[in-house]
Order: sequence, then C-alpha cells, then structure tokens
Amino acid sequence: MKKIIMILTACLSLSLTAAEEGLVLPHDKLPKLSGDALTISMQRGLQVYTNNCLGCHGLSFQRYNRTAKDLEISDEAMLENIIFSDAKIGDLMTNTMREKSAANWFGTAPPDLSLIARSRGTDWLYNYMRAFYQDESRPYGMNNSVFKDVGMPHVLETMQGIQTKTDKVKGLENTIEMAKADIAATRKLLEEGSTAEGLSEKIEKAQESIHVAEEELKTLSAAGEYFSLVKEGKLSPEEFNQSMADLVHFLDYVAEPIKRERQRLGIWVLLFILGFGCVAYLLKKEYWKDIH
Amino acid sequence: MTKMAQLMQWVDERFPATKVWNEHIAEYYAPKNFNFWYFFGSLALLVLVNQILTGIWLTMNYTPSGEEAYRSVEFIMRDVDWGWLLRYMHSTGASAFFVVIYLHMFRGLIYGSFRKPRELVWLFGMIIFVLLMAEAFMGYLLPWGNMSYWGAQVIINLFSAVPYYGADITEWIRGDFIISGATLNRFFALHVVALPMALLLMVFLHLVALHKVGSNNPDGIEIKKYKDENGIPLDGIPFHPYYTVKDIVGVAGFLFIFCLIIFFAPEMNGFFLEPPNFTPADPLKTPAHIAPVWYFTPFYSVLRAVPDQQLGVIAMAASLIILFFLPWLDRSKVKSIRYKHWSFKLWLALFVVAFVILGYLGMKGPTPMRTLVAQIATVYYFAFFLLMPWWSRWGATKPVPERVTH
Amino acid sequence: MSNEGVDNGKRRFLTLATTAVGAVGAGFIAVPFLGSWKPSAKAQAAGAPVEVPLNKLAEGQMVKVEWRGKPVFVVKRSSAVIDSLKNTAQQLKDPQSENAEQQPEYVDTVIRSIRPDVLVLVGICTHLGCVPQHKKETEVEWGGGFFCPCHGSRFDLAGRVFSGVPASKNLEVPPYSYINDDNILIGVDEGAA
Repeated sequence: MKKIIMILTACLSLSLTAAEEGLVLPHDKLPKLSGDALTISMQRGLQVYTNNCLGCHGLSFQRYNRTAKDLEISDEAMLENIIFSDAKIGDLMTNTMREKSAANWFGTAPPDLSLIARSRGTDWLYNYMRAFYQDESRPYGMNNSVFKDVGMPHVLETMQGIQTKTDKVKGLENTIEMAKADIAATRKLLEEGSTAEGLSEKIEKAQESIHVAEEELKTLSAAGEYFSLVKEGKLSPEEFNQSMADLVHFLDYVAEPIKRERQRLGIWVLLFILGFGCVAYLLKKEYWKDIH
Repeated sequence: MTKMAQLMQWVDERFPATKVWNEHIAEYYAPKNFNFWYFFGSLALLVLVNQILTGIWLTMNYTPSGEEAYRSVEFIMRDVDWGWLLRYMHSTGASAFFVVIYLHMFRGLIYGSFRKPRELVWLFGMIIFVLLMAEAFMGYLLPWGNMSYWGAQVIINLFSAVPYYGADITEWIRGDFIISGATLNRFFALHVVALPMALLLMVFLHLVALHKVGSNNPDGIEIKKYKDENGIPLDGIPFHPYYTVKDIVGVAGFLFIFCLIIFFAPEMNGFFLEPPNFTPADPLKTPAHIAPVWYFTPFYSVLRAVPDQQLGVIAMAASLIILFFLPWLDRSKVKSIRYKHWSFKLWLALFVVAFVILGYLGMKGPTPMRTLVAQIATVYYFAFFLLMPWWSRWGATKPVPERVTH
Repeated sequence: MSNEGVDNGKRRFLTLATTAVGAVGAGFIAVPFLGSWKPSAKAQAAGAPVEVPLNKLAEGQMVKVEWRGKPVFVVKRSSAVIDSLKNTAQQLKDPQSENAEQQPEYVDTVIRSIRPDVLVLVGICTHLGCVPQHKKETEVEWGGGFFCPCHGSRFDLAGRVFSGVPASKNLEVPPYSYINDDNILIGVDEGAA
C-alpha cells in the first residue's frame, strides 16, 4: 500500500511539474553584480546599446537625463557621448529609424526594448544575445538557438564574429531528432493496432536516448562547448560575454529605473514598521493585562 | 462642561456621533477570545482603503485609451514622482486583498461564522467577494499589456457559452468586434466608479449585519447568553481599546510583509505582475502561456476540468454560487472546528488541498495528467459542499463549553 | 476583567508613543501622495530652458518663444528707447522695480534687463493673465510697450506698468542668462551654469 502511494505521488509530482518547453540552450545565468561594479557595467551597457541597438530599438519610455542621473553620468558627458541626434537631454530615448521603413526591411518593426528585461527576463536576454549561429537555411544565413528563426540579423557580428554549433552538438541533435521520429512512427503503429512485440520497449528506449543526449547537450553548453567560432570578431569570447552582460544589466536598469532606489528605501521602511510594531505590541500587552 | 464636551453635545443633538461611536466601537462588545484568524477583517478594510487611495491617485496620471493606456502606466512608473510606489501599492494591494479575503473566509469556515444568526453577514460577504473578483478582473485590463488583453479575451469569451445569444453578448460587452479602446474605457469606468461604490455599500451592510448579531468566536458559542447586571456580555470586551490596540499589531505585521513585497519583489516572481504584461496589448499575438492571476486560478481550473465549454462555464459559476449556500449546508450541532468530529478536520484538510491543487493547476498549461488531477479535485470541491448536509451530521461532537475558553 | 493595578502612566506613555510613531508613519505615507503632484519628468522636460538666438532680431522687433508653456517676449530696443525709459518715472506705478518678485536681482531696476538693448519678459499681464500685445514706439503715442487687450493695462518697453490702469505690478522678467553674445538661455539664472 505504502509503495503504491509513493509511486503514485512520484508520478503525480513528476507529471505536474514537467518542463513546459523543450530544451533551450545555452542556459547560462547572467553574472550578478552590485554597487559600483553594477553601475559601471550599466554605463558600458549603455554605450553598447547606443552604438548597436538604439538605431532600430527605441527605449521610448526612458529619458536621457534620468538615465544619466541613475547611471552617475553627467548631463554634459551624456550629450557628448551618447546623444548623436538633435535630441535634448530631457527627451525620450526613441530610436532614429522610422517604424514603417523598419517594418519594410525586417518584415516586422523592431520592438521597443524599454521593458524587454521584465517581459523576457535577464537570463533569457543574456543567452539570446550570445546564441546567434550559422544556419545556411535562413535568409541571412544566421539563426538563434534561443529564439528560433528570429527576424533580427546578427547585428553584433563584428564584435562577436560568427559561431556555429560544434560537430558534437550537431551529432547529438541529430540523435534526438531521429529518436523523436522513431517514437512518432512507433506510436503510429500502436495506434493502428499493431501487436508487434517490443513496441513500447522501443519507445522507452528512444525516450531514454533522448534524455541522455539532452543531458550531454546541457553539459556541453555549461562547459562553453556548444558553439565554436568560425570567424573571429573584434572581441574575444570572454570580452564578448562581458559586453553582453553589460548590455543586459543596462536593459535591466531601463526596464525598471527605480529598482535600486526602491530596494535601498525598502530597508528603512521595513525597519520603521518593525519599530512601530514593537511599540504597538507593548501597548497591546499593557491593555490586555485587564483581560485574564 | 468643557468646550469640547459642549461641542460634542451640539453635534449629538443634530447627528448621532457619540451614539455611533459607542455602539460600534467603544461599547461594541466582542468576545475576548479572538485569535490570529480574527485579524483579517480589519486588514481587509485596511487594504480596501489602500486600494481606494492609491487608485484615486493612479487615475490622476492614467489615460484610459487604447493608444495611451500602456504608455501612461510606464509614465507613472518613471516620470511621475513616487508614481512607481503608488502603482506597486495598488498592484500588490490587489493580490493582498485576495490573500486577506481568502483567509477571512477560511476563518468563517473553521469556526462556523456563517451559521445562524450570521447568514446575512456571510451573504453580504459573498457578494463582496464576487464584486471584488469583478473589480480585480476589470482592473487587470487597464495596464493594457498583452496579458491584460488576452486574459480579458478569455474571460469575456466565457459568455459565448450562452446558447444562441453568446456571440452577441460578448460583442456587446466588448463594444467592438475585438477587445479595444471601447472595452478599456467601460472597464475603467466600472473599475474606478461603479464597482468601488457597490463594494463600499456592501462592506457597510456587512458590518451593520455583523454588529446587529455580534461577532462569532473560535469557540463558536454566543457570548450574549451570559450577561452581567448591566446587560454586558460576561465574555465580551469593548472593541475599543482592546481590539483596536490588538488590530494595530496585526496591521504592523501585515504592513511588514506587504512592504517586503512592494520594495523587494513587486512582481512576486510573476504571480502578482505577469511577465507578458510588460509587452503592450497585441490583438494579433497571444502570449505563449495564458494564465489568470493566481487568485482566479482555482476557479479557472474548475472551468478547464470540464471537457465541454458550456458545462465548464456552468461548473465554474456553480463553484462560486455554491459558497452562498454554506449557511444552510452545514448541519453540524456545533459551529467551531474545536468541538466537531475529527472527520470534519479530514474533510476540511482535503478541501484545502483540493483548492490549492486547483489553484496551482490553473497557472500551468494543461496536460492529460493535470486535467485528470484537476477533475478529481473539482469533484471533491463539489462533494465537499453538496454532501455537507450529510457528513456534517456524522460522528459525535465534543461538549461545547458554556463560556468562552481563553 | 479587572482594573486593579493598572499603571495609567505607562498606558498613557505607550498610547502616546504609538500615536507619535503612527503619526510619523502617516507622514511618510503622505509623501508619495503629495510628491506625485509635482511636475513630472515629462513636464520638466517640456519646461526645460529655451535657447533664443539674438542675431536675427532687428532693432524694435520682438520674438515670442514658449517657455514652460508661457509666452516669453524678447525685444531688441534702440538706444533712443533706452534713454527715454529713464525719464518716465512720474507716469509709472513702480518705476524703480521695488517689487523684487517681478524680476531677478541681476537685471537693472530701471531698464530691467541684463544687457540694455535686449529685454526679456514673461508675456502674461499681471492683472488677470491675458497675453499683452507688443506696440512699437512708432505705433502709439504713449512711447510704445505692451498693451493688454483684456482690460487695457499698459506697460512700457521695460515692462513697467503705467499709472491709471488695472494692473498694479510690472511684467515679470524670467530668469535668463547669456550663453554668448548672440544667444540667451531662458530658464537658467545668470551665473548659475
């Protein structure tokens, strides 16, 4: 009885929490920073963003002067180094390209990125920016392993260079695909009422091989052996990773400019409430001496 | 007579200020054995005030139009001084409201607070609960994010289950062929004017009914049975100062958690503010995974558990409506869980488990296994109420004390 | 319930303490509500300082620019006008600009400007807020200046109000400064940047 319950709960919890999406790699975490190191990273991220992204992707809820203030940049430096258009310091950081022509070039207008870090999450962005790889089947010859068939070209090619999936990765993906096809075919046989022996074992075996291959892919990705460079860029892979971390830290800031301030303020608010709670508790205790 | 007393007398001759204060605060005798569960009534009032105040302030900068709504929310978040705090107070307050109300209702369930003579207190409370759901649902459309949009789309389409007139009704609710600025504007009007007024009225009635019959307590017995020579319940203590000072402690505790969320996790990991809502409403693109906000998910699960559109909607409505009948379903000889048969604790524990499972599943995409679990939980949810007239009478109860235990 | 041995002093103290801390808390809570009524970043950006070039402004002419949603008049005065402004004291209510609220301290009290030839004024009548019209010294017999069409208030070419009209204060001189000889910046005080 106990055993049955255990198995049942195990099944249940497994099937209830099963992954919602397929395997998406790379699956790295954005390096965490705080204090001045974070500010400096955000400043560099702003530079990367203005040089490479702002042309197409506006930050149309965010103002230059607010960004300058929060990132500890002077208004003069902001005007000199960041604002290339005739925008004023208090203006919104809108893009310079007209939306219609953009839609014509890329099939869809490049989205505004003010809130992208809140809708996609910072880890996703960090992985996405580093996941462009060579894929001859795509119109620009590039694909993205995090955002499959994305419309955006590999804008940072000069920085990163061009990478491709390693042979090992390609082999493993091939294995998975074949196993999946196997399963589908076997399932079809079963549905058609085939009573041939070993069909369900075959499915199990294929599923097992998928699992093994996926685990191996994860290990490769974690070890940084998911992609290999076929053409070098201006930056080394480490420098490029760092640059993308900067960019994502900046986007994380833009998505919620008040974040650091609110956390700083929150400490004091909580301390105050704690103090108030103590006094209120003493008052309650004093009055409730009457009741007993 | 002091000047102050003279002034009070002048007022009292024209308006029953002192009388109201005494009847409802200073000489409202509440049982002296209230425990932790009795904080949530006053906390619900606190959250209501928070929602109304921050809501009024948000309307000062919010623009209810399809073109400007999304931008105006970000305007509040960035360009308005302290706007971010007002917005987080409101968005966190919405979830806090449901946390508090669910706990408040659970209190009623375990101590039998809905039983005679408090049926109307329960019914008014249930109306408040339904109004609150409508209020929250309409409020959720206002940021005009993509989750706002598609959440509203799904819920409004529930009405398409109405036979024959379904399509016309949904079109009439939207005021357009799709959800549009017209829908947004009418939801705005209802959210900020009509429903809050109805809510305030019902809260007033809820309290009037409560103060007429007096509060229940964890022992589920009537304190009015034993009174002293002045007609004051022996186990009653004046609400003020004893419960005002106690509730202030509860308020401090609540505010600590409330501010912890506001200042350190306003999105609450996607539970309070869902990530897809940080992209503007797009009628051509549904988010990959639509789930209502957590407080609706138990009922949403009931909807999905039924493999038929019309029956699903009926089941969901029934899961709410059945709560109204609680005062007449419970046939136990005693009110409080303290003196009920152990089987009540089992039924109740399983009900909590079923409700939480339904809530959890409502946030997840459906799989055959999940649907099966949701169906089992749904069946139990209804069984709990529909079979209550029988199971609540089953088993021996413990002897109920004459006076409250403290 | 018993009231024996109640320490009333302690009760009073704790009640006061809770009330005091609670009042401070209420004060803190009021901050976001009151603070949100200040001009937003958008309003501040729209109200940012305005640069006005002077090189195209001919003598006797006026340009109107918008600063913080208000009309600001920039007039180039001839030396004849400047001289005449110094001899009209008896016709004016406040010839020496004694009402210090109406101009920054760094402008001359008689001709009311930093550089004698360039006059900068907020173009809002100090009576009831209409926008006065500019009248050249050659157009009218009262020496030229500003005429408010709403209630007939008149101001001279230094923005000083004439006697016998409804307005009682001189036209306001906004904060402004010279970036260089040919450009002024309205909204930033002289010497501030």
